[in-house]
Amino acid sequence: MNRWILILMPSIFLFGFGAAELSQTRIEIRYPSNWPKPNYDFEKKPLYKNRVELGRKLFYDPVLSGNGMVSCASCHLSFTAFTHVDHALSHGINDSIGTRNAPVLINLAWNKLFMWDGAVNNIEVQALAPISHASEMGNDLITLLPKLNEHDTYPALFKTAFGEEKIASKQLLLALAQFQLTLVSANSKYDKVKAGVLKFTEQEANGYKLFQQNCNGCHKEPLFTTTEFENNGLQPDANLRDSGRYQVTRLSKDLFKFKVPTLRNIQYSFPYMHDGRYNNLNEVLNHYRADQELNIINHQNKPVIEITEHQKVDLIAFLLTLSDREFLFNPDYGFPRN
Amino acid sequence: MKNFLITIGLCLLHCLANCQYTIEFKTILNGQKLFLDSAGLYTVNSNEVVISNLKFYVGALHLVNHKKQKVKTDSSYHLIDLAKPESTKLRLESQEELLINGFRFKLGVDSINNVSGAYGGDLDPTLGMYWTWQSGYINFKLEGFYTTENGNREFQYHLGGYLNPFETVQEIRLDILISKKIVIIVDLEKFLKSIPAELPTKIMSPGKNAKLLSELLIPIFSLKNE
Repeated sequence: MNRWILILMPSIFLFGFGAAELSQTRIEIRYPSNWPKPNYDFEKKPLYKNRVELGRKLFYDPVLSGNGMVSCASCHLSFTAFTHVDHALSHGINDSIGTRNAPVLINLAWNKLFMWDGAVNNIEVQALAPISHASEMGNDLITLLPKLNEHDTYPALFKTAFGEEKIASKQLLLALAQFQLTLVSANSKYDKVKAGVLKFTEQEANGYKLFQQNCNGCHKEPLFTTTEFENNGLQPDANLRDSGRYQVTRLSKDLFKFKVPTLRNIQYSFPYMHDGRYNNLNEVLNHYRADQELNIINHQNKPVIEITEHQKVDLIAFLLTLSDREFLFNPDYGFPRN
Repeated sequence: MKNFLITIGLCLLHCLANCQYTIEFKTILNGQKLFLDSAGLYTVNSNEVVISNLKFYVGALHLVNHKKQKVKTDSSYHLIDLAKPESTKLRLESQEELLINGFRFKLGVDSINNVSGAYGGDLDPTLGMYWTWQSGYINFKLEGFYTTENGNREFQYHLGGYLNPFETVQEIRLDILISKKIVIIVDLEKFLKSIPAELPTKIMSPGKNAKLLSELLIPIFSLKNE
């Protein structure tokens, strides 16, 4: 039984970063043994407690935004699986509204590409996008770095974490990445059933069977995503005109493809889809269930699930077993109190 | 044998002091040295042109011998920025005298360095050569404007992209017997004249236009002995 998501390694590691030799406590993420290996290379770039803590402080600090009012956590709240519930499209600086639904931040270490269209290819450079986006945090590193270097507390914290007081982009980005890499959700009822500790109810077991028959192709266990890009047949929004993965690859095969989101903690991460068009799981399943409609762009790409109303209820009951309250209320992930 | 060893020794000493190869990138327009933001100096296709920004990455620097074998390599990336004259000169150190018959380098950042996370130094994303909304380095950035009867016509070429089939990094191979002082001429006139007129004048994201323009950069580099 893997109860612990994070453990502090008992040993102290000595390593060099820049000029100074630092003693650092290493952190390892824990996950069930049947999971695949993370995509992030922790052997090459291990997590260190000081860096993770620094990344967490930065994650919750609106100093990163242009007007000092928007933090990463503004759109990625820990209690709601690190997304912004009740907002179809992300809200940013000066009441700007973005073009996509803020995604959950769960099990990011297993992802190869980030953002709905996979525009970001490494978690270490991900933060550049929201920090610089005019409708998100409306800032840029050229403005931000001097501010951090003159800050009351950050130079000392960076020195503890990286050995150098001078804050450069590499250290800032690495700290933010280190915190987000610790966000592992692996302790839902589903996981406990798999570990033999709990049992599904009859309804959940029924739903699980339906899930395996209909959804597991894209929302593959145990991460509940392949982390690939798929076209799920949604009619493109006429105002957003979002062509998805195509915007990155410029290949017609990628038109209207978006990243397959994980279904872990799906109960808490509404509204759903890349543009947040569906408010509840019932609507989502109706999209996949509906008979093919004529004259709708992109409808031919829709994977159709043939299930009854009763089966739909069972399937949703299963999806709720993917909620992981230890993840949502993990004190290591919340606002840093000290 | 003794004499031979002394000769070798002298050679080594000689090289420890002297075997430094300098590589300088000299940018020209209309056959003259290019100065940024200088009006009235240059024309392309009968239009007056002003260049305001030129930056590009070079990496995987190799000196090769007459058999095309690599005899000296510098695998790091260097950002050549015309606004920072010191950045246009690079140095390669060698412990021995080399017979150099050519110079090879990559124009731009290769795909592995585009996907491997955050870097510092010349690859620091704050240097204006990294896209923020999409991961990836700009390999070659050229900005300026033409002065025409109808006012200024701006152009901005931010050429990059590491994904197939629109990968933009280019290998530049220059073959000539060269001395320790290597001068690479970068002829911007050749590039600006070769851009098809139907292309947009602002190309700032990866794709087929960026790939096409990146290929047009290959012939603008040439070697000059000084």
